[in-house]
Amino acid sequence: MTVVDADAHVDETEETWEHIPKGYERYKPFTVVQAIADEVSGQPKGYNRFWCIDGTFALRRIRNDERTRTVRETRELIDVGARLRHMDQLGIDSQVCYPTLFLMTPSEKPEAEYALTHAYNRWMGSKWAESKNRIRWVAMLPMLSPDKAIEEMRWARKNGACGISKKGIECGDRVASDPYFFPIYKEAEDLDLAVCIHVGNGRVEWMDTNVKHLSPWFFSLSAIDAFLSLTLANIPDKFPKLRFGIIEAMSSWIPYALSDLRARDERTQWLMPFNMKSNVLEEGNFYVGCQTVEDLPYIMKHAGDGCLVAGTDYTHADQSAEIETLNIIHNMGEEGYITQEQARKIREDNAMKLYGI
Amino acid sequence: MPVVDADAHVDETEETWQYIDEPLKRYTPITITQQMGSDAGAQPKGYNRFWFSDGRFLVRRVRDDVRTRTTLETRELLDVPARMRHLDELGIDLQVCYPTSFLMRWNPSDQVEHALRKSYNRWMGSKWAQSDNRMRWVALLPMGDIDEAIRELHIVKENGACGIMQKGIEWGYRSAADPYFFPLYQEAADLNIPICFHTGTSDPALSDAQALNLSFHNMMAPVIDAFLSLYTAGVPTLFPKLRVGFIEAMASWLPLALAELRAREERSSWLFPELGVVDDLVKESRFYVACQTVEDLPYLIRTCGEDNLVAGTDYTHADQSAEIETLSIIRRMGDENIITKEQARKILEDNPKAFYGL
Repeated sequence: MTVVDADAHVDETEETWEHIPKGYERYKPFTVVQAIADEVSGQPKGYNRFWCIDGTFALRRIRNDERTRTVRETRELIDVGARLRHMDQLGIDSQVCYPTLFLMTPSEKPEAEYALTHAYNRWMGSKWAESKNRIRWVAMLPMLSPDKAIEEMRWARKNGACGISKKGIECGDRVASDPYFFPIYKEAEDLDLAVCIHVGNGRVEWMDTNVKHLSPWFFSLSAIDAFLSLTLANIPDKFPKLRFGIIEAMSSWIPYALSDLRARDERTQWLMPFNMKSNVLEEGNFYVGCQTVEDLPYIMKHAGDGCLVAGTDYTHADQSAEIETLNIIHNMGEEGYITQEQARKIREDNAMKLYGI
Repeated sequence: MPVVDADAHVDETEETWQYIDEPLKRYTPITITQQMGSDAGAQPKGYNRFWFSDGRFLVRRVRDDVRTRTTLETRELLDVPARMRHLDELGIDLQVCYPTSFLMRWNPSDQVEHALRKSYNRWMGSKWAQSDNRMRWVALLPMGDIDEAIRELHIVKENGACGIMQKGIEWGYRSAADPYFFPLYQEAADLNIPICFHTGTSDPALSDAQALNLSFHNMMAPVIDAFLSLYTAGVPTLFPKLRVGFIEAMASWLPLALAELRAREERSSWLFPELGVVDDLVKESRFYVACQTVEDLPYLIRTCGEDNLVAGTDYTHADQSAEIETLSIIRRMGDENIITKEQARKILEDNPKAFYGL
């Protein structure tokens, strides 16, 4: 078995964009930094550097090594060997990496989206190749170009990707159960790639240059919407082998979402019929990223112990970031807060199943 | 102590709009009904009648009396005494009423939206006057003009309103903690009237004519966001007498919100330097949350205490929140020791009385 960091990140860097395909160079991001004065009124510290992409701006945070307990070389994958050594120190065998910039929506132009996601995937594929298969990653898709998205999935699958990234609401405010995404779900199922709904937002006008857009409604609650939307539309029945991850939105919402489903089952089947399963998460192949500040025994009482995974949020420094997450969960098992078997499942079995590792 | 239905509804009717004054009378909503065909495609049953105003459609649901266990006369307040008799049958002393169509936003124009809201308020005030003070209501304010909203607040307070309805994300994607609303919060605190974050959306691009727009993210998630944004911004400290309610989004999100706040405090204090998460956070903040009978109430009470949960029937509606026997079921939970009798009494009586200032 393998200890899996189910939610790590990388920071995009100049090298990421060296892979912009020919003919799309105009969409290559460049970096702009505050030039004068030493603080930005209203902006959190380090939020004064930006990517400029086709006239749109996105944060390129200036990280604090001490706070993140990482260094630029590991965050930006400038030194893959160093990142692997750091994983060894943390007791992590495999990391599944999500992006940073793409948690937002840098462009709603199909051609720009294609250029950026294509470049990111090539960059991550090259880093995976250096990592002896220990740095796995979740592919970014050009969702506005479904045919190209499927091509990207096939390429990514062969180059270390173990999932595809999906926003809870995206592509013109489409919910996760919108039939628009069905060809992608079908391909993911065929390729044995998980659909990973990470926190983020799907509108270009809600960029993180305004920190308000990182608040729960803009940023994290759409992941819960995805779970409810997929369940209410019986998507797991349509794609019975497809696995879904709901990542970095915590897991304390599970009892809440199950209450909502029970209420709908009891009271509104006439309005919106759906197949209420006895174990919604397990039978639906749903996996959920939990965090160490949560009441894990209570959550597992409702969700079972086969669906929780956990990650460090490596690279980041927000409220989800705890670089010792997997060790803390191990200790929870040692100390009897949860069982040792539950700890093992969260750290190893469940994450391996979700990502097909 | 009175038994309080903390979340009931009314259906707007033609009479609701008769208080719209010139020159805006031309925006008076009219009713459009399906004329041909035996079904309405993908529309849920009863979603084939619409309010129409200024080019915009909102659903005017065709209700099922059996399913809602109500009648047209009680839902639309055509017969206030009939509604009072129904309250008696249900063992309810007081009902706090929220609107239906205003869970969406009617019109992108502030001027038109304000006119419709004021007309609703006058209509509800007139119905309250017939109810022997048993039918209290939550007012809709002209949020596009805070000075005007404060003037309206004084009027509705004199006419039976016991709360102000606000969406979690309101008027141009503003969060609940946006300083734009602070003068209103101050006035509400001074007038002893709570802010009630009910499920709903203020996005004028969304209509419930598309049932998918009634999603968790559009309707319920803003309520959770309001809780987090108000606490994180220290609004309970800024307005130490203000009471705030979170209505019809269930209560099981509280553990999620509390975990989120603990995580922010532990891990991103550099980002939220003023945030201090106290043990009795919900009570200390004078936050009240509407729970439902399908939820794990003992756990929620352990999580947030027993003094801040309220409950309602969702009277008039037939969605997943609707349980007309809610208050009887909670009383029975007390009798059957699922929760204590005192906890049941607090949910049914003390807490809503304290919240709405009844």
